Amino acid sequence: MTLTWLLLVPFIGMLAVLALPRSSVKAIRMVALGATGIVLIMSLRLLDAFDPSLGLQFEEQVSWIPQLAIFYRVGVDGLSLPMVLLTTLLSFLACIGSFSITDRHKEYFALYLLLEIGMLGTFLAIDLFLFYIFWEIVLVPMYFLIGMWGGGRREYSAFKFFVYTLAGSLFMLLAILALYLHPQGRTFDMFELAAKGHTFPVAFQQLLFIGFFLGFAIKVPIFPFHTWLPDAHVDAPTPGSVLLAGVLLKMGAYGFFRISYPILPEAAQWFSWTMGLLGAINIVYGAFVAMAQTDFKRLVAYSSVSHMGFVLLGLASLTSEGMNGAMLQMFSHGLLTGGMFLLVGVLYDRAHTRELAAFGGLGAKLPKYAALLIFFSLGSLGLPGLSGFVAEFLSLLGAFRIEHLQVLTMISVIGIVIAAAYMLKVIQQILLGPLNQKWQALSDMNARELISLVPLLLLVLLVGLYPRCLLDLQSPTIQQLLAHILFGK
Amino acid sequence: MDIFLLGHVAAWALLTTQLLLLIPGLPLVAFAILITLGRRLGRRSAWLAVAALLGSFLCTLYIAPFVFQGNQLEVTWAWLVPASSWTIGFAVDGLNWIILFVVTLIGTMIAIYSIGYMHDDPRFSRFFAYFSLFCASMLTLVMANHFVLLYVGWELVGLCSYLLISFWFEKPAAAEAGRKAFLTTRVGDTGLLLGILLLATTAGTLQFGDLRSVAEQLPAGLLTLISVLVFIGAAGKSAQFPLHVWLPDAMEGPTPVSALIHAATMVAAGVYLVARTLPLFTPESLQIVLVIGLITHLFAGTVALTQTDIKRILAYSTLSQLGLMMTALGLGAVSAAMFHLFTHAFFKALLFLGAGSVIHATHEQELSKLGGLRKHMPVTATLFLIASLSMGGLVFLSGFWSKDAILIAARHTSPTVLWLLLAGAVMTAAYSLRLYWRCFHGAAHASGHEHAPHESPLIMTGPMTLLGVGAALIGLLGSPWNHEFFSLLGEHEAHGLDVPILLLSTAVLVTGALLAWVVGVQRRNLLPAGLRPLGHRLYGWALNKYYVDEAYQRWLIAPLLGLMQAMARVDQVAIDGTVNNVGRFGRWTGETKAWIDRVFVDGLVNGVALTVRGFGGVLRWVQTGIVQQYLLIVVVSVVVLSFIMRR
Repeated sequence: MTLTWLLLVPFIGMLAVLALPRSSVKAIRMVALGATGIVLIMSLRLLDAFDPSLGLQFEEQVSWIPQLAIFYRVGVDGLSLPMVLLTTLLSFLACIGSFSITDRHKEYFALYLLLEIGMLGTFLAIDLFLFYIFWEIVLVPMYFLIGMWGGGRREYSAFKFFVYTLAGSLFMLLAILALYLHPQGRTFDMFELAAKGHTFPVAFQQLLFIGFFLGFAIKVPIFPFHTWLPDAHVDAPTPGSVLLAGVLLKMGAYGFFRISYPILPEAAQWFSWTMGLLGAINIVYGAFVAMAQTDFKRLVAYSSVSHMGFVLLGLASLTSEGMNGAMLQMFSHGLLTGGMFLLVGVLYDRAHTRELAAFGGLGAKLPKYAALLIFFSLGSLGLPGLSGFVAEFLSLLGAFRIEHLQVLTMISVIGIVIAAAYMLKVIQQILLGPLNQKWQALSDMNARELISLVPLLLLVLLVGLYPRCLLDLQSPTIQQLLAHILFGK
Repeated sequence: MDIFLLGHVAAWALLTTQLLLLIPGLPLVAFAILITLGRRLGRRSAWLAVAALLGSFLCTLYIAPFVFQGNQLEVTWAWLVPASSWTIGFAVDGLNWIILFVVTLIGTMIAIYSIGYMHDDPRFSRFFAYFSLFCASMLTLVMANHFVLLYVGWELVGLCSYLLISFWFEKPAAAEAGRKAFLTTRVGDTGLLLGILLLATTAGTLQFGDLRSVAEQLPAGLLTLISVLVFIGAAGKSAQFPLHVWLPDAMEGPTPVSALIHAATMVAAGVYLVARTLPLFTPESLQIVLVIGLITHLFAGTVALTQTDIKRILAYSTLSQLGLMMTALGLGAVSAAMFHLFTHAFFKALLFLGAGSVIHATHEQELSKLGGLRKHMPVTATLFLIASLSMGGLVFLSGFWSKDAILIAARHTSPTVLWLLLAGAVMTAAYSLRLYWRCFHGAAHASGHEHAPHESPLIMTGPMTLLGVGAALIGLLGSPWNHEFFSLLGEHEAHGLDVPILLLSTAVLVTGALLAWVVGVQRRNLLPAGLRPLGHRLYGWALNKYYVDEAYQRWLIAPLLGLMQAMARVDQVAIDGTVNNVGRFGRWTGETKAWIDRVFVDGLVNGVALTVRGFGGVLRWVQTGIVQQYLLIVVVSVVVLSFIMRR
């Protein structure tokens, strides 16, 4: 029941929040914090009990709609466990960050906990139908978080986010149904389907791959389906941006690892070059557009487009290094961009602007903030010793191994230079130079803000210095996956 | 040898190996303490940094006997999976022991000096934190036995360089210079990164120890490509033309930083990298190293002759000397290049510290406003003169021996290169003596200050004096009478004293000194009248650093920024615009349908209308996005579809 409890605890928390009177803000916050905290602790115990060499573990299965062979079936393996940990961690930290929400606490925290259920369910589900339900559940609370607690053109952004993702998942739904209806299929079980993967005709695989691709590509997001992302990020409240960039984008990439690649192995190989091309475009294009941004949050949003490109590049390579790098990049990007959005929020809460040009010289005024901003920027630009470097290096190495991806890899390296350019631009415009007198009264970060950022900082360091802490978890599963895709084992 | 003694020796060797970890470890610990507790430690921060570095220096000395016997010390650990190809660690042999010695010794001296120089700075402890991090990273870079670990150190020293150049970040020029340094070197780093990727995927190993066997296996064309890529990284770090633009601007940082990072150690990392990976270099790629080195040597020399900011003169002279080292590598004379790196670290660090001493005393670094300081600052002046003469190549001073080694190597391989190097040596002598004379002799311009300039305190002159001894004498380690330096690099036959080269380089020094006196100090134009317009033009070019920065700004940076703006516009207008238009089209379709419903269909064909409305209603469901309804559609369609398919 361990995994089901991961879903039940936030659900109980949600019910508790709904049962509490609207005025008891403190209690509502504590319930939400408690629920996310318990889930975090439970996921850490899961990590402790997890045996990387065993494959899928802690499975639970209950027949749900027997007529259609739909099961409530959950489990974790080396692919999902890092994502589950990322989700529980960011949910907890962003919950601390949510204390700055000032209105409609009850609705906010109820939706927030629903969001956590959706995200965790997506990563835990083994049944395609269940996966799809959780995938769609995520949309609802996020839609409201952006639409009701956001800023700027929040209704527009929320609607765009919702409809765009929904449009994508329609194709995914068609692909799921086609899998079920295919005479070889007749099941929603991901592992059973994967075992039959090589028996599906190649043309059928290709068609379905494109269907899943459209669903996942919008979520990742892959160029040219990325334009919802800057709008949604900019207008979402800080915790929303953190989860959006930290976890929701990973759902798309996770879909490739969990569904498209194992179930449609021939198509995955067929798509390799295109995937690499899209990865390179994401990296370079995202970086170039990020460089041109004047709004801090928009810049970070486009940097996500660029960083997710490394996931695609590693995925495209179908090599051990590349896939490990891609998974590592997903985790690392979750930490780094989560931190970056929290930092954007800290500044916005004080200054009520995100225009980079409006700042300057804050380095002397806000030393703690400066230290953290520099740290996360360095992580983001791939400084060795921090998590981003290992991930990007492995992705590049994996892709470079494959002949048809070599040129694309070389082009992608440009992205690393541009990443340094836009991150240093952020540091320079916000922290360096003479102090803009307007910000004379700005206060440095308080304890609550520090608490939400320091764990991320430590993890970025840990993964950067000792990447094996994650690699050891994920790499047996990735080896199996690769053997399955390439050799049908 | 009996068993007991063997065991003893083995235990000793084991201990020594663990000691390797302390060399970068001590400054790293100092950094961790200073960055967290620096404010509370206050002025004690500096002594913590000094103590850590001194500890590293003592460890370096302690392992010296092993290294001098020709042994290699190694400590490794598994970093990534699979462990076989990802075991990284530290290894010390003669080649990098030399640099360990330079970094820890000169680093300690400069750290002590900085206590005086940074005395009144509000971010005193922060300075020493960065300083310690730099030393830890530099030592990691140097001791790495694996390309990736070297790359880690490589990027981290770049970071420290950035942090320390922009240390006085309230000055916009300092902030900009830091960014420029980081980005320019990162352009070079991508070359190194690609070289590493190429090596990893073709040779399958990134250990430095395997390079020799790798070179035998890989085809020459591939080796040339890999080594050129590696050299691009080296050129960025060592500020070789055309990636040199960041180093002169880096002088915005505090002067001790310029001395340690931008003269003695970090900028020499490129030279070390080429020396370390020399097995990969083919004759073709060495030719490239030679040409780039020569261009940098001569080009920077001419610029150094025309500058008037004392730190910029030194920066260009550093460029020029780094070019000389690269030239030596291009000639295949690794030991000569390393020897020059070694002596250069001493005299150039001293020159910068001397310049810092002048700036500390006068708050002025413009030559036209300085002069006559010898009376006020006799110690600084004497040490500065020793360092200048050492760089200029006065017989028996350190710089003479190392420059001689390079000239001898050139004489044996290419006379053209020899003559070009002699021309470069004239310039070296000229710019260093011009700087000395205009700064310390002549009329005292700076006396317009409220109080006369004073000699720097002992905490600054003390380390300078020690470096002065090095600048004068340390070259004797590689002189004809003493061969330790070269045998450390595995060359056991002694060089003789090459008398023609000795005479030539003395003549060169005298010529340079005369030129410096007549043209640089007396300001006499020696050119015949006919050549003067040309001379003026050339002078103008050199004075403006050949407009390289302007060219980059105009032909590279501005177009790139324009492209980025254009891409952002495309993103907004074309890509996002398409998305919005699809959305609008969807709404328009719905509205049109509703309109057709109302006007034409409604009332006419009721049955059809109902169907259409039903259809529209389903579509509207989808758009409302209420999940329960949506799921209902899913389930229904599953049922219906499966029903259809079954038939």
